[in-house]
Amino acid sequence: MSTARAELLKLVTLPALALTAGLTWGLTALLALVADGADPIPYVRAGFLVLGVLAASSEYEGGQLRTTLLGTPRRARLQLAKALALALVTTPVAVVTVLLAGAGGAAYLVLITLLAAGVATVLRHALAGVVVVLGYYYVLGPFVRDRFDDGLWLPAAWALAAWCAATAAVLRRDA
Amino acid sequence: MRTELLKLAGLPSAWVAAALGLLIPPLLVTLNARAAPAGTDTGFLELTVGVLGPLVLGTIAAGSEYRGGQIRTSLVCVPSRARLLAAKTGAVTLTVAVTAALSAVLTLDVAGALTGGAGPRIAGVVVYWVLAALLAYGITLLTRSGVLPLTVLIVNTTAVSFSYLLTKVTPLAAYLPDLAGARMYLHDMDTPGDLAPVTGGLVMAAWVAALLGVAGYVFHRRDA
Repeated sequence: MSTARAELLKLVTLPALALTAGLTWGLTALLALVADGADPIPYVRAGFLVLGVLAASSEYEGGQLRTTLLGTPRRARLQLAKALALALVTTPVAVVTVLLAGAGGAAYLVLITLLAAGVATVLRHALAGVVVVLGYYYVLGPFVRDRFDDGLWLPAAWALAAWCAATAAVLRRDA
Repeated sequence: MRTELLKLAGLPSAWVAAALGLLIPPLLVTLNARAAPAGTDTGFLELTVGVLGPLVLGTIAAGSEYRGGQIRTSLVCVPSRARLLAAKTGAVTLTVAVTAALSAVLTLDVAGALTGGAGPRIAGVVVYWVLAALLAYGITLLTRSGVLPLTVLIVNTTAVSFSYLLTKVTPLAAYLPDLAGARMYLHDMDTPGDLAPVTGGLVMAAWVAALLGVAGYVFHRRDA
């Protein structure tokens, strides 16, 4: 439990995350105001993807992960605590965004945040994470999306897969 | 200038970016060929999406200097900041121009649109890609981190972009860099305003020049 609390504290005190959440809310309010009729969620979900990437990659800037592992040597438990903390932090951000937009589901936004965090953990680099995740959702995705429906089970499965891959990578890799 | 080219060529992510720019448009043409009949903009629309490659390239060209303080070493070697910036800008321009020309020829060949009259439009694509890369490069110089510029610019390359939404609010949005620049090679655009190809290119170039001016000034004044 104290591991989860430590992770929560880390996420809450990261200025980049607060900035991302603030920008996402501002953009949502602006789009809801400007583009009447258009759904702002497809645009502002970029904010959640970036949120996930930044939350995960912050450990890898300047070797913070080594300190973290000194405190919590059990890596599987650390990854579990990280997922829990990120979901906890993202939920209120997602709920407020959905209220501002007047559309969409908060669960979807939380799931894609976890997905982005999993990808960024594997890549260990914020910029690479942003390119991969946004490149898929905004460049490649629209072309392959026709073959999948956009239900909730698919992002959930992907988030789980990304998180399993991230945990496997963290377990096996040198810090 | 040679040093800057070498630095860029030594970055694995720069090669990934160039590969993205080279491979995405032909791939999309192949995917789309089954779904939609060929129009006047077939191939060129896919090249607009392929601008992802140059955007990443411009961002890492500026952003890589600020990881682990490489910028300090660069400035020790080339103390004149104006010269360092000019060389870097030149390296980005040259790399993207070559990538763009190759990708345009390859994509149009796959799309079957490589005809004699395509020359000026290919030139338009090359200019568009170079200016887009410099746009990303200029913003990254200001923010010193690539996350913000890449997020904004990637989301804006989607089919229904922010700029496109803004045209619903004000017709002035047609003068935003991406919409004005695309006039250089797209024929069917359902946005208001009717800029000629050369005018569109000049509008985009003016945006980039202004941004690079501000970025250059800030870079000149700031501690490394």
